[in-house]
Amino acid sequence: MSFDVQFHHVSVDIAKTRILNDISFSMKPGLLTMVLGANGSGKSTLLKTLAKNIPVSSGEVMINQSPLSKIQLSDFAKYRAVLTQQTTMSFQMKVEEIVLMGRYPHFNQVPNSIDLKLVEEALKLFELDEFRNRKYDTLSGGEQQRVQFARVYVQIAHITIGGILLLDEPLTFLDVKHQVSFLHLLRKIVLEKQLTCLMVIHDINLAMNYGDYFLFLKDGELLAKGLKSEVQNADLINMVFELNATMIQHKDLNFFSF
Amino acid sequence: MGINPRFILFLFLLCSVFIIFFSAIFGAVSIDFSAMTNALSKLVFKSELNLTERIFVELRLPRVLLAFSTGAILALGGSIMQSLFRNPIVEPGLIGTSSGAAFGAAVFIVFGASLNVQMTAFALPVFAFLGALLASILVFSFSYQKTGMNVLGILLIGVALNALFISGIGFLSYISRDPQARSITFWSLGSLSGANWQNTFVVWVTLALSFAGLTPLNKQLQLFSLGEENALYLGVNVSQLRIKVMLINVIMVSIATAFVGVISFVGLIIPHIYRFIAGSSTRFSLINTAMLGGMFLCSADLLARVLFAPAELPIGVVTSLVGVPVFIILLKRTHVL
Repeated sequence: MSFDVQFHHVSVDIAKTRILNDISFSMKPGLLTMVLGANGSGKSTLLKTLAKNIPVSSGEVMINQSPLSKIQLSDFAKYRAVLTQQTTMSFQMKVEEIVLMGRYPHFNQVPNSIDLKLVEEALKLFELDEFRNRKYDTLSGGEQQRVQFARVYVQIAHITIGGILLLDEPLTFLDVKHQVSFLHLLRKIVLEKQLTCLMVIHDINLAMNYGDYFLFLKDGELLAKGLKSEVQNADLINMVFELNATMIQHKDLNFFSF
Repeated sequence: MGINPRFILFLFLLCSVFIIFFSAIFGAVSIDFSAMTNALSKLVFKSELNLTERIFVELRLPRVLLAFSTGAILALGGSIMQSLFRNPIVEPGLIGTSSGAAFGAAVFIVFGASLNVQMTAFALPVFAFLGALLASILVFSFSYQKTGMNVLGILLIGVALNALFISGIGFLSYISRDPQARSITFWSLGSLSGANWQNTFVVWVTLALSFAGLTPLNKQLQLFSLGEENALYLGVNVSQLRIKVMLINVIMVSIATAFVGVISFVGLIIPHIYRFIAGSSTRFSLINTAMLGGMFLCSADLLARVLFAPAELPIGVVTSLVGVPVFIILLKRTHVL
């Protein structure tokens, strides 16, 4: 089952301060939505609102026509997965044990054969087979993020077509090579599984090259939204980030230079 | 390491039974195997017991069983609190429970007679339990915020209140007469010499109920190792789970501490030793950790009884003497240090 997500005039206050103001947009399955904006613009709050971590103060988030506030957290965890910046484990664990944790919302005491099969598939897909018995702390930052990505993927992997995947600045601690391979894999999964995917990202050029739909936030307001062709211009970028960037064309790709 | 948890479960079950009977043999009077079987069969057929058999049935057996269940509760408490706080140096008494219990006991020891408290067997435990409860409620209410509980706040307030109660105990020892001060010290270091069938029964029931309450929570608790935010994204109601786990911890540790006094170190080291043996596997981790704690405290109590027999050492002295070196060796072996 695939998911449509809609924000209807959503505002969020935290400790009486308005963080998001009157946000409206919609997301379709199979499209990678990129959220861009300066620090403190409300990007993470937007993602956490959709993840059901922060409640809305007014307006409504709709998931396939049902309000998010009415959905149980434990039910939501069966088709919505979230990858955060960097995850430190408080206790040493093996890679395969961490990936299996993605299946915890689906079984009671003991994982069944489907859970284990999905974990096996994820270990292969994310090229973690050789690491499966390694301790998490012995892995590099890029490998650790791949383990967490596999765990997050496996949480919604039982849905043949569909699922909601949210990513909160997952590239922060990765080098360029790992950033690119991460985004390649992400695109592939989003397309194949027709995921409804939202990603908070800092790198404008990477976002433009890999994203399908874009949201630009500034001071809690949604300044612009649209497809690449609608938002890829220097004026908008300069307004959002208060910069003096120019756009450079190379073959059929556009890049921003700062 | 990383031995199959099912195998460990089986092994620990056998070892637990063995250690319970083995530690029942030794003491000021040693009881051989035939005396044990005689006593048990006479109990079944309700015939008269001789002196040795009565020592076994009325003193030794409840004591060994009390030691086992108390050790199990402390280890269980340490294990769940370390998971909850995502911190390996947490122990169950951290949120004021043990020092509050010791303070309550000290109040009873010094003022019990002048307060005209009925001197029943349960008077001191009731005071200790109230002290533990008072301390825990204070920690919770000081660290409570509208947005939920602040974990770091709980730890800091726990440390502060622990210090306060320990000074309170120091003050009470200072103003008390010599024998009272000795009882306070003895109680603050823990002792199982007050064991009888009544309190053993209470502690075992507490253990069984807490275990039943924790088992369905264990899977969610394991997700805390990914951090609270990730646990929430995996469907865990974080604040609700935190309250449930801390409540169970406070109740079971207060009850155990009320009967045996403050026994340090078991709750801290047993979860670490178990993780060293079993690796990070979460299957059977609760029951295995509990059994390991039970075996540890049983053995420690055996040492406390026999090392300077017929005199007895406070058990807290033994748990620290054995526990600290084991703990440091473990930390070295696992390259934490």
